[in-house]
Amino acid sequence: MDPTSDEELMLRIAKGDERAFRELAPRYAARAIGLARRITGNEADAEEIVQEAFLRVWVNAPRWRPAAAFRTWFYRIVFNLSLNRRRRASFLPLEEAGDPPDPAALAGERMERDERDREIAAAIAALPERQRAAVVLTYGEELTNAEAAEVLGTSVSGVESLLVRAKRMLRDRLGSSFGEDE
Amino acid sequence: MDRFDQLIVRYFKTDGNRDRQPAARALAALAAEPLPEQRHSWFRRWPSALLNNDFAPAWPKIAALACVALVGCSIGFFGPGTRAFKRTGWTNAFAQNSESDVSGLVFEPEPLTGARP
Repeated sequence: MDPTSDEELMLRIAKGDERAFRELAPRYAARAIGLARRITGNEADAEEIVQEAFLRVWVNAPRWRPAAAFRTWFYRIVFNLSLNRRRRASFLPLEEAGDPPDPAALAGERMERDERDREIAAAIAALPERQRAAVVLTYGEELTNAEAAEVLGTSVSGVESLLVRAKRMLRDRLGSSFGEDE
Repeated sequence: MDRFDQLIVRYFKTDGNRDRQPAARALAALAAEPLPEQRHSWFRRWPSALLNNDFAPAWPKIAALACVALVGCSIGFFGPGTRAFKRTGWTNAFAQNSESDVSGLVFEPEPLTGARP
């Protein structure tokens, strides 16, 4: 268990402590990849975005103010970089391309679950980008609405509105395949 | 949280597992390269910026120049002839002293004979 908080590590990073940076980065790397991947729809882009985001954290650490939570600050960097990348190039979302067949996962239940996950992924990928970001941040990253609002640069009521519209679209899209009981 | 929400949460939890490998690759790529220089605020950066650009000042000379400039400014702002100086009362003291100046005694005419020295 590591008792050092993100904010303490950031204060050390601001003084040029590279070891603190190497300690902080793994805490958020996977989650940041997930966030970037779901916004851009491209895993390779997500990797590059996360590298760029960490470099920005390092470079701008002396300007970071402890008043802001590191997590929301970092997610905001990842979110903005992802939006920039998405607007620059169009692509086929990975979720729509589908996964290669896995011979070990041919059991019926597993296949059904994979299929359902693929449908959810496709439905989320089809959302407008801000609605998708709101869903990813609140459901995927488990941010509070206030934190998500900070990342998205909007108000709490703005996030709530995005979530309501996103859920309505998801229900419309998934409703037929999920059935009324789900 | 209704069943629909639970489905989405469960999807994100299972979907998150696939990000570990790309995350490891991203961290490895970061570790492979030296980190760039950090960006400090201008206030903290300017002395090192001067040194880095090879026009570092000769500090003793700069200090001497600053002192002379300070003395010059002090005289300019508060020296004789300024309002600040008049407020101190020293102007009156000078005026009084000038009337009873030694030169006045020496060069005034003799009171009885009117003879000048």
